[in-house]
Amino acid sequence: MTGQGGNAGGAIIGLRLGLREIGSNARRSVLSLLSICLGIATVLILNSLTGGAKQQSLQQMNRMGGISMLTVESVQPATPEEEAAFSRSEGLRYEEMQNFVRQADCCDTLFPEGWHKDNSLRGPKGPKSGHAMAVNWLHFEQRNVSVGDLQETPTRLASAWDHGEEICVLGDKLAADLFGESRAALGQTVEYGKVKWRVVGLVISASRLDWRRGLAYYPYPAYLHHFAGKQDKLQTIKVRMRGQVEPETAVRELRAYLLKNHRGVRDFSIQTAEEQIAENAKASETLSLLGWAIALMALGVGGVGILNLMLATVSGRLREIGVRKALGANDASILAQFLAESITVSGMGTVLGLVLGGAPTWFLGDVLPVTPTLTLGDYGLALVLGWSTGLFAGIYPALKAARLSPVEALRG
Amino acid sequence: MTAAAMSLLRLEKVCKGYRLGKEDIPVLRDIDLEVERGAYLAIMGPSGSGKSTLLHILGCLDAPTSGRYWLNGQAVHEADATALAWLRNRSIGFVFQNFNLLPRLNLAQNVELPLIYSGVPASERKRLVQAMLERLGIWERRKHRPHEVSGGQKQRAAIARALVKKPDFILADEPTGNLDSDTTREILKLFSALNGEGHSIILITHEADVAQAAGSMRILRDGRLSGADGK
Repeated sequence: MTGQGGNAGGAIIGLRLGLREIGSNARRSVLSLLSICLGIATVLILNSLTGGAKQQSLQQMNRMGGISMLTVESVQPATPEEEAAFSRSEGLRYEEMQNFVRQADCCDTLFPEGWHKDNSLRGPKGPKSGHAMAVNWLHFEQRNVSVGDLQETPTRLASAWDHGEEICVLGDKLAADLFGESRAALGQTVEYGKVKWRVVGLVISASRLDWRRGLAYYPYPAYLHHFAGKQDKLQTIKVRMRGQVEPETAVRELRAYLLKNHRGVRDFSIQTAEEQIAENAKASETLSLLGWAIALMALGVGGVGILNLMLATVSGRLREIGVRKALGANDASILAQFLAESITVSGMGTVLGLVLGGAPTWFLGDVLPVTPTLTLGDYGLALVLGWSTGLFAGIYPALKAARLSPVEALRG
Repeated sequence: MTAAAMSLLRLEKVCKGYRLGKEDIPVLRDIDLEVERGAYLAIMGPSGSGKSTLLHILGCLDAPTSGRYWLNGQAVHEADATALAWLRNRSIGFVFQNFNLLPRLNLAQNVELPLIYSGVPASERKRLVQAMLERLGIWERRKHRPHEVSGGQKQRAAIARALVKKPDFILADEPTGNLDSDTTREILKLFSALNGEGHSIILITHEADVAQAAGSMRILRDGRLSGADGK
């Protein structure tokens, strides 16, 4: 006496009935569906943003000279002993770096960066908080900063810039903040660090959220003249290597040169672009892990939501389970019915979540500061995660329903 | 065993008890019952006599604590949960006091359920459901949900659901308990007609006039089953 179809036949019947029941419990189904949908959308959005950040960091690295750039930075003394030792050195200076580039075969171009402590700029519309970065003219030409509306010829401006004239280029957003309208700033002066700077151009960017649109640039020689004093001490400078030069060779040469100049004091650090990329990759890996942790928690919350709703469903449908058992439903068909409900609902929620979570990559790429990026693998993983969440969240309530004795269930 | 195989069902020394804390509460004591095919038997008893427990055992919804039960010659007392589900589907048609129709399904879908569980193909199900709803005079109400029809129509739908699989017997638990006297008469008349067509019926009730509609009657009192005369 084993029954005509046994557990397998019962399971197939239960699956069919489960699918039919979804429409009958629309409100509960929609709530369960939303739990998973939001969980999956969170997974995808966080994943697309961390993926985008990673890609953007690599692109930015490439724009700024790619792996041919070395970053040299001044090191601050951490202990009194170091402070005493560092005093023997004159520190990292622009002039010595210029000499290095002139005499060495490994490197050809310098990109100094100077930052003054003043953090507000003043125009006719009053002071606005913002930063100004001291750079040489090559910065615009070779590090992907487009400047438009130039007030003079590029040759004349390049010459004036590298001679340290009091001129500046403003991000168009900052210009609009200071002058009411960005183009109104052209030819006018803006005050920064108690010096008046004539606006000779505007930074142009395709992205509305490009941070450089809120930045001011002024000549590095002028920074040395007005703010750095006679010491000419550098905080950061980037050095571009000549083609075909191994980074290790360039680092070795530069380190030897600087140590000699600094009387053997290591008051500087040299980092290759590869090291920076590795550092960035590590940071984005951490970010990615954090994103996944948050996303999985959101999905877990969705799963608990389904579990809760399915348990409530089983409690609310005890009599129905009893009637079905009285009419011939075996444990397998009841189990399959409830599992089919939770898997189908979570499947629908997952698909909706894929659409919702994928939408930023399709529509918001130009608006967001980071271009969201997703691969087919990300979608596949999210699909599997969503479905398995529904499966795991549905198992316990479905087992509970299946194991109910018919008498107990009929009593409701 | 031969006798058991010949009759529709047979209970031998069936006992059922429940444990309440450390105490065993006997509900059914040494029930012996044999029902022939085509019988129309009423089991009558007052509240608390063990009627529901006996119904659950007869309906393969619950297992006896001890004793033996044969249904169509098959040893129910040895059956596992899957086999019991199969027996409920193939051999027993339940009619409940409160109808127990699923509220989200219409009458036709409710009647179709036992056929789905026995794997009957959709086209055959449709034909059988139509025939049964027409036989019970509720075909026009097939698309209505239970809350949209009268008590009598609900009970007719429940009887249609019980009969649609052509079970070995109908097991009715207080089938007129929620009906007015006119509808009660109508349903009892229907049971008599069904019995006349050869359907075996076991009716469990506490109402003497309902029990008297059956061909034979047994009395259940304090968990013991006696004849109509109480002996």
